[in-house]
Amino acid sequence: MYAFEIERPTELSAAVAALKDEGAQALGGGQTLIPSLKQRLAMPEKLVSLSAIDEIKGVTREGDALVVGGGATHGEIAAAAEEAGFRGLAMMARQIGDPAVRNRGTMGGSLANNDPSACYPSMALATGATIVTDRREIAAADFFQGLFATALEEGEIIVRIRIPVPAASSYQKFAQPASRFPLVGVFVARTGEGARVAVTGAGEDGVFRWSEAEEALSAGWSAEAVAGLSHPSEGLISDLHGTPAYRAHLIGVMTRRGVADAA
Amino acid sequence: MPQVSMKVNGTERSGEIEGRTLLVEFLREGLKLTGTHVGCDTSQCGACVVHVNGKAVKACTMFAAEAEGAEVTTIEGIAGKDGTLSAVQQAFRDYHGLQCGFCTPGMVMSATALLEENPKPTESEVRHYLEGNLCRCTGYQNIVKAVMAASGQEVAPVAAE
Amino acid sequence: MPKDHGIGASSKRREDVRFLTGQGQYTDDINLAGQAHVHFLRSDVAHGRIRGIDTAAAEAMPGVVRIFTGKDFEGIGSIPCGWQITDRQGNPMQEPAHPVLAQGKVRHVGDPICAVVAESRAQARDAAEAIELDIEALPAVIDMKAALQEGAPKVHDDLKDNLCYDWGFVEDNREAVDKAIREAAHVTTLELVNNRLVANPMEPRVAVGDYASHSGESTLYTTSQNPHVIRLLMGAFVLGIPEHKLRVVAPDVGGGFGTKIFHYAEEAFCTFAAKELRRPVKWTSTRSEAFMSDAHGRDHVTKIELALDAENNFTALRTETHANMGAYLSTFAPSVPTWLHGTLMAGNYRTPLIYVNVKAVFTNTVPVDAYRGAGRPEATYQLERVIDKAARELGVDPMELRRQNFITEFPYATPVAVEYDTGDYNATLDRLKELADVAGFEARRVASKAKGRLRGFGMNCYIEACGIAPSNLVGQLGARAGLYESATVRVNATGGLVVMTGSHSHGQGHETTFAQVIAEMIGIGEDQVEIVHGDTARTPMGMGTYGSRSEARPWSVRPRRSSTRRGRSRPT
Repeated sequence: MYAFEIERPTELSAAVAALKDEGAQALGGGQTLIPSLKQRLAMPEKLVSLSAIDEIKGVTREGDALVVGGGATHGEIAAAAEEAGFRGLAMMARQIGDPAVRNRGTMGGSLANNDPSACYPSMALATGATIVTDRREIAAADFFQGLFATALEEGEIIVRIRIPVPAASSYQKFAQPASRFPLVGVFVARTGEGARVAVTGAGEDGVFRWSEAEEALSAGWSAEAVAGLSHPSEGLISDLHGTPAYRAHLIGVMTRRGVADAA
Repeated sequence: MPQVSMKVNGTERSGEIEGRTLLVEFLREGLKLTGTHVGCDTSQCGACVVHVNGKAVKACTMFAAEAEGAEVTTIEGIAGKDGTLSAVQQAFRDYHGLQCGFCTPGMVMSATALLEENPKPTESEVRHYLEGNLCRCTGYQNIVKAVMAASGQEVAPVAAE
Repeated sequence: MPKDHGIGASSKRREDVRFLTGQGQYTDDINLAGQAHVHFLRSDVAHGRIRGIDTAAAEAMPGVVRIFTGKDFEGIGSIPCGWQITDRQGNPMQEPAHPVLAQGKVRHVGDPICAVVAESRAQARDAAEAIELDIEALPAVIDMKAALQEGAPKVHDDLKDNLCYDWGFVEDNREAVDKAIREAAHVTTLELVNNRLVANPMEPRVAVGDYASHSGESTLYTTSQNPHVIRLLMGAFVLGIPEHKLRVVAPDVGGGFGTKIFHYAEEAFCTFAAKELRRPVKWTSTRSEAFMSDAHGRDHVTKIELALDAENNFTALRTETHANMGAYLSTFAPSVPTWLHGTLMAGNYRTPLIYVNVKAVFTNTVPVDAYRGAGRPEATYQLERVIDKAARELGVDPMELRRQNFITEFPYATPVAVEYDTGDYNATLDRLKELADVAGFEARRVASKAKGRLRGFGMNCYIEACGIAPSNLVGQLGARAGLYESATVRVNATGGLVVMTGSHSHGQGHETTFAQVIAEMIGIGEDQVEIVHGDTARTPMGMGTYGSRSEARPWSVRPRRSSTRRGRSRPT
């Protein structure tokens, strides 16, 4: 790691102020950022740790929504989602990394990073979540803007994520065996506005929705409804772990599994 | 240089750090608690697992500055003051759950955290919980047996999934 | 009743207590007063010519003590190879120089170019980034067959070509084998790759060099399976330090899997620099660095042909293997595809004619050396795969094809220079079939299929030569050091024994098992026996632990000595 200073404010406003400094960068749970700092892939002058700010922590139920603090850890989220009967999110959070990683890594950090293979973006997109920051609210549909790119401005902090709990949901992750990141991950949700299917790990531009499957499932929620559908391979990631055609195939398989699981 | 203070294995400790000092570096180099090991640089191997405020974390993927005011338990704080091994430590010894010993501190810390959260895990739960702890010698079988034994459950026969 | 003591007892491992409580002492746990840290700036190209190295800016960075380059090692020895192979024509293998830091050229990704010594690890790495390297990238050879083509880029400009050796075994059988294959009723041919891998013990490699100016003695603390071998190779061949002025300590070692047998440049560097700088110098590998600086394993490409007569008896076996040596010859690399491999090609079978040809090749890749079984699993893999393929081609049961060709009369002299003293492979196979419930397999397969799962069945036979020795034999085969072992038993003035062994432990639990043997031989309690290893200052001689030798070699030494001492020390 290159040398940098580290600050650990206890108030959100202090963190926002600290992030105004040249070369300052926010540090969430650090489970992605710290390994990349070790590889010297980033060169911040100052890290502003968000780990001591109580107002971005915790998970609460507000009506039909689950409100997840930007600083809530995957472990806390898995437990809270389980209790709220939010199957898809519980499945997702308890499969991220490993227990020690889940005790540090946060939803806010993951969404802000928008890794094309991260799990949460598919959940946020499929549920129509709202990302609440220190200065505004951003709909998930507007939030994700390509690989590692989001609508967040410099120094903007994710305070909480408001997630409408779907009537039924599931997350199916086909893990790349070495990294345990999804080679393809599919989040399916039966919501008041119809069926939603969001795919992570596969798209060249990051997370996306599979509208053809959504239409079929909105007409009738069953694995049979999507049995005949296949996702085109155009625009899908090609790397040493899988071809676009392989990923396209997995999208179909994981979608059907998800629907069957959430039936 | 900035200072950091934390309670480690029940004792208040403090020392000088850089911003980039990792918790594991502070423990190993600052406090000479060398039982916590570093086996990778990608947060995958788990040899560095310690407990911070009761939660298992990878000490190589957390800055020392973030442990300010925290209660930290390392492998050196697991056995009784008289040297009596904990149930997990004893079971690892009884069931030959270690060979070279390098991954062992992290394994013991993770297994201890598991049994605090889930005192009677199934074999599958043990395997999943230890996903972030790599061992190169044992093939894991005896580690799983040891954790099952430490939880007071029957160990044999333990089959691979 | 099971024994509770001595040989055969299920004793709890004594070393476990320290490992379980965080009291183990691994090399990275050692920090010496005043120590500096080194970071190696490594090549990021597979092959290149060093045109210039500008360290001026880096030297001005905070905490930098000194920056070493290949120039500092001119006149210093080359990292030696410990085994010489003689080729089919009777000539010695081609053996390139292996400098501690690259001189003139870099030959693989990870080849160390500069060593930055600084007050802290982070400062050393910071400064390494400020070094300006001017390296002209050259065409690289990665594929072994391409490396042997006419006009291929040469890994070592001063060698004739990229062929380290072309070995034939047994060369006198060559024509007879060719003839038998030409005339066979059936020949099964298989080409296969035994892929390269990284050994990855959990503990990355570490070296700490120290120098005592009052006595002129150097000490190296290192993650080694065999500190005495490091003392020999580094002292005699690289740095020119007499053995009595060089101490090598390998404390607790966190797994080896072969890759911690060898003598590495980083060890020589830390020992050398500690003397130059008059302060301890420490290097701790990162995992990423281990991938490009620890010797890799395997990397064989083989064509194997099995000839059978009309009754399916094996009549001849011929193999041609390309074995990747990487860019330099690591300590035991030449022995792995040859003596550790060719001698196993008979397997459990009565094949009268065998010829093994091995072409060892230099490429612009990380050096390859012994890894888990080292050459022997590769031999078994080829042989057993070709037998399975032959069974499929002939439409016979692969188990029965094996059984038909099993060696049944012992002692049996194979055509590849080893004699099997005893065995009963039919009994073993019968027991295997029973344990694996071969008869019930079809029902299990059908049941799995009904659940949408595919179930397969595979088996193989395996015979391995372990504990390679004695020195006289291995010397004839090209080993440049003996493969003896030593132990010293000392009766403590205050009671109990200390046994100092030259073998080492990187997880095997010698402190427990050796104590059991000694206690049984002498007739005292295990707790009265302490085992010491891993320090050349405490055990004068030894050869370490690899190739499953530590039971076979030292144990055969120890009981004899123990009984001698017993006679002497008993009061009359």
